[in-house]
Amino acid sequence: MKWLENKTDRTERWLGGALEAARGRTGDEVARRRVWARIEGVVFGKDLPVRRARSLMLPALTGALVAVGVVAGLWMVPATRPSHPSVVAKRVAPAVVSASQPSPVVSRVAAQVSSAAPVRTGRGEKARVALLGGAGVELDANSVLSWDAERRPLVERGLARFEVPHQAPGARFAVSAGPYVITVVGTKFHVGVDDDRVSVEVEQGVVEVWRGSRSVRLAAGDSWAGPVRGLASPGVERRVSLAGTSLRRAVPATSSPSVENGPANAELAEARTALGEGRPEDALRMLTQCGKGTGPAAENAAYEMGRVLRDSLYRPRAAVAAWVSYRTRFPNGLLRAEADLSILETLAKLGDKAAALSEAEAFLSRYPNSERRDEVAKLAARVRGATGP
Amino acid sequence: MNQQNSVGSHQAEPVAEDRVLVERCRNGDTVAWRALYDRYAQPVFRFVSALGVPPDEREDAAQDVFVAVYRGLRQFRGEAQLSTWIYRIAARHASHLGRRRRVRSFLSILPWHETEPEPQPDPAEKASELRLLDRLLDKLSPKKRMVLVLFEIEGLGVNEIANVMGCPANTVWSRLRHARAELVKAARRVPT
Repeated sequence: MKWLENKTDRTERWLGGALEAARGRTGDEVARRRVWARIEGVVFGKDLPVRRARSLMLPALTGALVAVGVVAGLWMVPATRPSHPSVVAKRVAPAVVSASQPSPVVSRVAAQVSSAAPVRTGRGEKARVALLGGAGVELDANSVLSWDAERRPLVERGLARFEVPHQAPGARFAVSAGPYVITVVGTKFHVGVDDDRVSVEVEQGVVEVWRGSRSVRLAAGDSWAGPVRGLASPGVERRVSLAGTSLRRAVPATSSPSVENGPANAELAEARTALGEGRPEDALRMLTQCGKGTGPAAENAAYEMGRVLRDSLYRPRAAVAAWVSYRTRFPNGLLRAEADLSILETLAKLGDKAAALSEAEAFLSRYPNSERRDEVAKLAARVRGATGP
Repeated sequence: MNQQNSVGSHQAEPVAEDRVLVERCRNGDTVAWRALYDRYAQPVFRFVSALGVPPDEREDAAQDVFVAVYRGLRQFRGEAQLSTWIYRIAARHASHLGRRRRVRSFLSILPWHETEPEPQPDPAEKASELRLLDRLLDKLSPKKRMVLVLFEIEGLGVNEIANVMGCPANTVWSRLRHARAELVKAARRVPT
């Protein structure tokens, strides 16, 4: 008798069923689409190279050596050191400085810099640095700005306020901070680096914080913080994900409603469980609640509502309305193209030819280089064919 | 044996399609890249899941596999099937993640390290059955597990598995026989 073919053996029967279940473990559609969106960003958005994950032992040893060095340094070096500005700076009127500062404050303006020596500000000192591409950065006291191997501004320590004009189509401005890369199209944002963490706060526009090939997106008013030395501890070494588990997104206390991704992710997971257990109404209720928040979990929930409505509750019109609502709320969302396609496919299935054709045209014009152009063009041709005599 | 959705199909047509796909990808055709991803995403997700990559790391693992495919496609000489080559990359990546998990788990017992949180189960899975299967597969050595997964779950033939793993076909048979026996033995020990 062949392996697992003894139907009277309970263990073999169970094992056969479990292996069959494992054959169906292919990831859900949204997960696969999400991965594609990320691959597309990494592979075809050439400006963001993937960093290979480092091994754990080397950073642990390096960290230990650095820690020993720092302790020895603190013990041996006097408490205060004069600052050594490394960029020729122009002194400006102290009028720009708050009168409440206890010590004399000097604000420095560095010439346009792309690969110069690091800019350091001492105690009570500020500096403004003009960057390539029309961007500017204002360094707070006790800060260090240098350039990384890819000639991106690197905030080594302190607080830096960046102002980046809108970039040309396809161009992105990037800033490094610890193990993260913050990319923007055009915006105002702050990057803070201290001994333990990197923080980013967005004043205007949208920025993305990348670590290796993982990212989180922040909009105006959002702030985020992550550990500087992620590899020192297994808990924080785990790679960041769009779901926001490690690259967590924190909403400032002043914003309302105050939704953090931790609970939102739990809600999203509960909704998926409910769907898996055949309770689509409950799933929809949870997704609706989760979708009211902000952040990646809310974005996923807003998109998945459409899927539940169409595929589990068989309400395609309501599904289209949900996806339309998704793209109104997240016009540049990660799943925007998927929402557009879902609307198009659903309208075509509903036989709403005029609306489907209009969606197809909008898609082709919005994504002239999309790899799914052919697919949409074929769908549009089929719809057109169906409208003909 | 399951052949559905397997990238290890031995029919001539998919192989020929793969050749065309590879050529188009090499020429920078983004439509072909999407087609390649659509063809192999499900098997890659399934394969890394069966090799023990926890649910919260599977998307990252799949992403890394496809980025490696993208980067290495110019060096892909076509001596093996595309599917074999992708399985090889995925296997290497899953092994690497497994090693890192083991190091993390070792480090987590040191007093100055934070405790590693338990990976969250994937709610979409048939939870208890698959979790138990994963626990049983964890008991196999990595090589035996790989052979069993490629044969029983991915539906590959012995020769293709030998290509993926870089070992003789007889070794594959031998590992498969042992893996099956150990898996059944472990399953029988589970209290019902």
